[in-house]
Amino acid sequence: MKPDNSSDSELLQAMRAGDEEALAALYRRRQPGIYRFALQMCGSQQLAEDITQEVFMVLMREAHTFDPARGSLGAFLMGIARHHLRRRLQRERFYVAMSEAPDNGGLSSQVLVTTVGPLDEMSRTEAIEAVRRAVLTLPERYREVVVLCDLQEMSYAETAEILGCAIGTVRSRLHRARALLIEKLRPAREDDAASATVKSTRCFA
Amino acid sequence: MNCQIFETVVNDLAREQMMEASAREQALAHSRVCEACTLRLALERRLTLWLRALAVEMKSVSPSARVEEHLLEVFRSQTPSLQTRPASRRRYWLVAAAAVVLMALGIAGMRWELYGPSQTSIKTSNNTEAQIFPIASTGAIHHQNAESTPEQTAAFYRPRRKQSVRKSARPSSSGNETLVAKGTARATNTTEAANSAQSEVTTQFLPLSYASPVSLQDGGHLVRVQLPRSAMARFGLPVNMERHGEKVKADVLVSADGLARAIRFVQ
Repeated sequence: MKPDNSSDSELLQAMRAGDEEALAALYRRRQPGIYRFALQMCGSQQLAEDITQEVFMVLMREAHTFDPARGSLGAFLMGIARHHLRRRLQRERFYVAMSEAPDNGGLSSQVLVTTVGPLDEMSRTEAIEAVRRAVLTLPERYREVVVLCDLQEMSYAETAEILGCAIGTVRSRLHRARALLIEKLRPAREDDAASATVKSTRCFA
Repeated sequence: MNCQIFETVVNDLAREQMMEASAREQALAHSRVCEACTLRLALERRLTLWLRALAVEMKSVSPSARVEEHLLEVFRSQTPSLQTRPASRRRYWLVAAAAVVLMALGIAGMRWELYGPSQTSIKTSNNTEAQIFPIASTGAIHHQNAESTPEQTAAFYRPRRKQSVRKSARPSSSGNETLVAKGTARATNTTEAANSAQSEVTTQFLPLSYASPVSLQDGGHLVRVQLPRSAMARFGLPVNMERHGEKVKADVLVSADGLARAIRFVQ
């Protein structure tokens, strides 16, 4: 069997039978999305690597729990990643890493984002960094829809499958999340009328 | 289209998602005439632009190689157990099933040998039978009781009630009531005491050991005892689980050599 041409189910079956190549192929195929999702959700490379590793450890241990009838392997793995990430973030909520001390960013990132100039006034790198930080400051349930729909470019249906909610919920959360992002990224000095427009979006979210 | 409806489609419009052509046209037409919605759409489009830039920027990131190495290492260490576990489990169940079958066959064989169909009853000196069921029939009773209804359980006791009553009604002087050897007055008294209550319902005698069949010709006597009701289950008799903690009376047939040979339960 050629691992690169095989389907996820075939690779999973081979992996359960003890084929190391199958696991390696599955890992190479699925790890980019999982790692990016974890990184975009938490902003820490170390944590994202831990989550990626943990997801595949779970797959090795509990591959039999995957039911193709209930969804794709990608969604299954992303669901595991989300579950572990939430647990880790909850556990580490009260800890601040030395490298993420307020002086170097961290808590001040929100201030930085809200006080920088409008997106079009920034350099590309600065703008991307500002957007990244703004995404990280979103509440978790809004952050994950932005990450999945906008950054991972998944459809509403795929996102709903991973989050285990209705498509309508995904749409409304995304709407609210984007409104929050715009609010965070808008310059403070913009006129009140425009702000009112953005704020009014909350009413319809 | 008004601003409220525009707000519901602005995300899809800015993210260039699939939507109805007419809705798209109406939304764009509205954005051309409404200044607030024009600004709203512009902001959404700008946000989409930068989010896509961020997505492109992060496309190249990947975890370090040590994650894969560690995973494969763990997989290698677990693989033997993963591969052998189902096989060992199958083997375990096969061995367990074989052991159970062998034990059942062994017990059945021993019982058949000891209590064959020819040894269906033991006669007392006066033709009174202390019936000890052959193993085959005991097994049949057990099987019947495993699925018995209350009526079937009652039927199981009924014949013995008549027999018991009949026996008790007979004069003990003739000795045909006793289950003991001739001339054993104490044993006679014990038997009479055991059968004195005419309302008693008894099961038939059930063998207690795999030793040689009981022979009352050699003497022996009955001893009234009390046992936990759960003991009845050991002889294949139905047990009312609601009363399993209660005691039940039983007559133990003790042979002349002092060994308990058979038992019958008294209700």
